[in-house]
Amino acid sequence: MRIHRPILALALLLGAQFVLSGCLTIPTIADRVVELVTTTSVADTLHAVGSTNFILNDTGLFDVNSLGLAGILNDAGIDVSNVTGISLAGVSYQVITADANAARNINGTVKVSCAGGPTVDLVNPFSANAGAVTGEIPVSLSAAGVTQIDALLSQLLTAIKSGPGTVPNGFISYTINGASTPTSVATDFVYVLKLTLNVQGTVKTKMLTGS
Amino acid sequence: MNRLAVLLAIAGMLACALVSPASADLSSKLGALEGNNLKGYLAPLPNAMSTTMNSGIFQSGGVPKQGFSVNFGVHINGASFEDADRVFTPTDPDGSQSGPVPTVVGDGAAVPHNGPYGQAVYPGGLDISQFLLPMPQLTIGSVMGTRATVRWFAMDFKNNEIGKIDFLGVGAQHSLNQYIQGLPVDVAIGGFYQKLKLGDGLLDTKALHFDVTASHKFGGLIKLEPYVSVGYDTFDMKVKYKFTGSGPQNGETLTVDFDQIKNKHLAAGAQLSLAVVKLHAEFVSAANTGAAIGLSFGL
Repeated sequence: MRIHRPILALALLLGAQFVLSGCLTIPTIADRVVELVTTTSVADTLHAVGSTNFILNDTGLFDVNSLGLAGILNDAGIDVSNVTGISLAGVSYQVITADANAARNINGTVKVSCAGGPTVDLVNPFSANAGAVTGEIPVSLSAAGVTQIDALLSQLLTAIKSGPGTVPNGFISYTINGASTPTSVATDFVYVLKLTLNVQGTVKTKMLTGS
Repeated sequence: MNRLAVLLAIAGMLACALVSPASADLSSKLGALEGNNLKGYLAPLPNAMSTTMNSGIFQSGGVPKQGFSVNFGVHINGASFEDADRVFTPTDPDGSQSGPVPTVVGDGAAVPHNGPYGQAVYPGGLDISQFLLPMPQLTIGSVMGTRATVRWFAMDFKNNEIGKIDFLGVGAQHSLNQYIQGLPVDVAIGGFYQKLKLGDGLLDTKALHFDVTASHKFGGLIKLEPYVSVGYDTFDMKVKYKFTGSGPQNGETLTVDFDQIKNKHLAAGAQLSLAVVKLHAEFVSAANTGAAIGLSFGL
């Protein structure tokens, strides 16, 4: 038997499988809508300093109207009309200047009030060492605070989509309370409180694929 | 994000660069996925890219011992995805694994996972069942029964979705008929090395392919040349990006190395020639099941 006949037969057989298995498709450029996510964050740097019996009591405001969402969306290539959601991704702290006492420890809570609403827990009671510089450390969240922040962000998204671009009272007011130990030595460290937000949106892209 | 969608798809990268202009910073948009989750999201790509990049290189075992020949064309190589390729199980920020989310080829909708440390949102995929990669190819011969093949594409799209693409493939095919007289078919061994880079190290791939191709020409003015090849592929892929998600690695540039893929490569197809026009189609069984078609012109 001439050997090129088996080659022809094999090629034809595999060609048949090629067609029957649906591999033989016409390359086309097709539209695809993909929902992606980008993150942005707001942060405050806080200096905890005080006497030997220091009680942590830091307060501050995050203004969601100053998030610069239009710029974030522009950078991400998302049209405002295609934003599908903005939500709280997480809360973290980071000690950026350590306390001189390596044993410095904070036991505390973080409460928030959004748009003048009730003050609720954002972070479950936590314990943190402030005697050494840290990276960003995520903290366990309380549903009550998350719900309030997400509701405010939802209002912001509606405002951005419908025109005004801002919400009348866009403040997230926070309070950090805690006890600092050891009490025999004065407290002095610097930390950052950071809220990270997810921004979801759809983009339309073109794909080379089979039809 | 638009750029992310295109780049993560890879499949459309060359074609999309030509048809879908936009501007955005890719690397920062990849950043929300932590290293292992990025690996899961892109998991279907190495096999698909290995199959497509290592396909459609040689369509004939017939390499003249001497004489000038040149052939230039565009090959479109494709690979199919399985259903299992469409999802992966990520590790949430709290370390738990709460359910499947789309890979880059999966459903388009993003999937949120809520945990004690907040909400992680995993991006949607491109909802594709096939991965197609077009590539230009030039073959020049022959010296001592050897001909060279080059694939090349390089461009900085600047304000386009893709950014910079550097793609280079070089290889050669060497006739065995000159050593073994009386073979009833044309037989040649071949090897091919390819590098594909996107952005500033965002995606870095290397593919290596070896094979033995046997073919036989039938016909006169119109020639049909069925061929089969048996070979071996390797594929390496690396992704480098700036992590922008929450956690201790925020702001760091992460490099994700994918496991090297090694697999046998079987192909069978046919090339149809009429004067200077050549058309080929082949079926591939490699890292994935795939197919390749191509149109080329040559002497």
